[in-house]
Amino acid sequence: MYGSWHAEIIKGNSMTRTRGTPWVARLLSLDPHWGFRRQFLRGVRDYSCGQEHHTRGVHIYFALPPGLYEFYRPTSWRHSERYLVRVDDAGELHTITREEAIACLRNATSASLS
Amino acid sequence: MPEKRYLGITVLEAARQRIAWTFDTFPRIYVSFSGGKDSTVMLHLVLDEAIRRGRKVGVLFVDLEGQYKLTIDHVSEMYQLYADHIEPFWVALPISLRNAVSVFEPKWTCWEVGREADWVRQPPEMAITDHGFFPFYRYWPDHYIKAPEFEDFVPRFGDWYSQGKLTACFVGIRTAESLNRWRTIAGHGEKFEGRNWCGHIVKALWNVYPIYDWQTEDIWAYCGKYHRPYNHLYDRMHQAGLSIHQARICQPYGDDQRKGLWLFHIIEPETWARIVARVNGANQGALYAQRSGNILGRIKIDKPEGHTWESFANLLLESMPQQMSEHYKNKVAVFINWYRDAGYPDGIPDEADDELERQHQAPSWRRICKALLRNDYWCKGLGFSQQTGTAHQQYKRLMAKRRNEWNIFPSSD
Repeated sequence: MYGSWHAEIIKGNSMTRTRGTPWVARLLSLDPHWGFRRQFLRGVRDYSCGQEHHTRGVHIYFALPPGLYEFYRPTSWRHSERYLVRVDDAGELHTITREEAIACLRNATSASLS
Repeated sequence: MPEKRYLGITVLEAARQRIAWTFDTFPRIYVSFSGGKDSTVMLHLVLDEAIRRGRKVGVLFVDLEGQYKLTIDHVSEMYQLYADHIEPFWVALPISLRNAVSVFEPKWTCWEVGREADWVRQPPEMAITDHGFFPFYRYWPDHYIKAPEFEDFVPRFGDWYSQGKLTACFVGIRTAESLNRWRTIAGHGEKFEGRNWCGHIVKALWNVYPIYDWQTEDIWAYCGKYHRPYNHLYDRMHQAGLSIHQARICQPYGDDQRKGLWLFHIIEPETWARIVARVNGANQGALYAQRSGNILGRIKIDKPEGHTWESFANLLLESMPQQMSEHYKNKVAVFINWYRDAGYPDGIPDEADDELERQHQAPSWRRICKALLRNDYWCKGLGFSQQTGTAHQQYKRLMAKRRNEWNIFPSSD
């Protein structure tokens, strides 16, 4: 089953640079140059809780098949966070470390080679 | 326009595949059930899959009070039949509904607080009647907080039910029913991984339409072949002379449903007597529906002597209650202003060619009169479509400003 993740789109004003739009990338395999080979997913925007000019309250929702993912979301105008997550077969999300993600992908690669 | 492509399998097999995919994909699932033939067939199909997988699904039935007893009996029967495999949500809370048969009461509230003595019937024991049951539900008539509209309540329920997880709501609509239904499925909007029959609603909630490609004949073939329980109201409708395509049930005072109002007192006279006392205009609606076959509908209209269509339209607008008059003035102002920029800078003619008017190809004051006389609330006859509750409030504020700018029915607000 699929999991679900969402994050708020935080817009600034003309004077403020913000931390960009949230994104989700599926980790496909290890990459010698970039660390991971990734596939970026397309989310759906939800305006149902948006404020009048949609500066706050607009969320972007992602449906996630079981697998490994990298999440990025701004937490304020100046700050953001980026972390790795495993979605299990029941659609539950578990935060994992970079080492765990590398181990999972290495195992998956060796399993597919054998 | 997308073309119809055949998949080489029956619609039943295709529906089962869609349902199986939904169970594979969505952790939370519920069925939006109305008691009609389509949602009944869909409920059977979904519950077959749920039982096979040992999963429970939610079943939402929004009880609109003024409904056929046979429908209520059928819903009870289905809830009992699948009691071990469903999470039942029989909602009997005040909800604001459209009343298309009265200009004096364009909306009515089912299960209205303070009018318990007039209720068409009492809600069943299992129904959710506690106003505090859903955290999102707000209705405080003493503080001028009106009951939510049906269209607002349903997605909020879905969001509440989802608990933040990816959720599928099964909806039993078919493209063959109407152009609006076709547009809901085939139109724009976010689709789940390119599947047109799975559209985004709000947040993590998606609507799934597993029987979207079924014909009416398919529905009845399924019920007959597999001997599944169905709403026996359809038998009564058949006895009353309706074809299988005409037999549709819903809350009967809606804009599209009012043409079936005449059936109510034939099929269930005992319920009808209470409906007349409860809903303003119901009896008048039934009388006109019976005479013309379509309440205040596709009939030839005449204007009073000494009037032009324009003066007649103004007379009709002035004779309506204030709220309705303002509503129609907004629509008429947009209609006239649009044609100012589309070949009629000096205003629209009093009447145009009959055939062109019928095809909505030519504007005229006669068309406006027809919309007003039909009590065509959303002015579909003038090319408008229905708006959602919250959008409508914003629209009313905007229109008051625009009417002053255009100098068409200047608003006093």
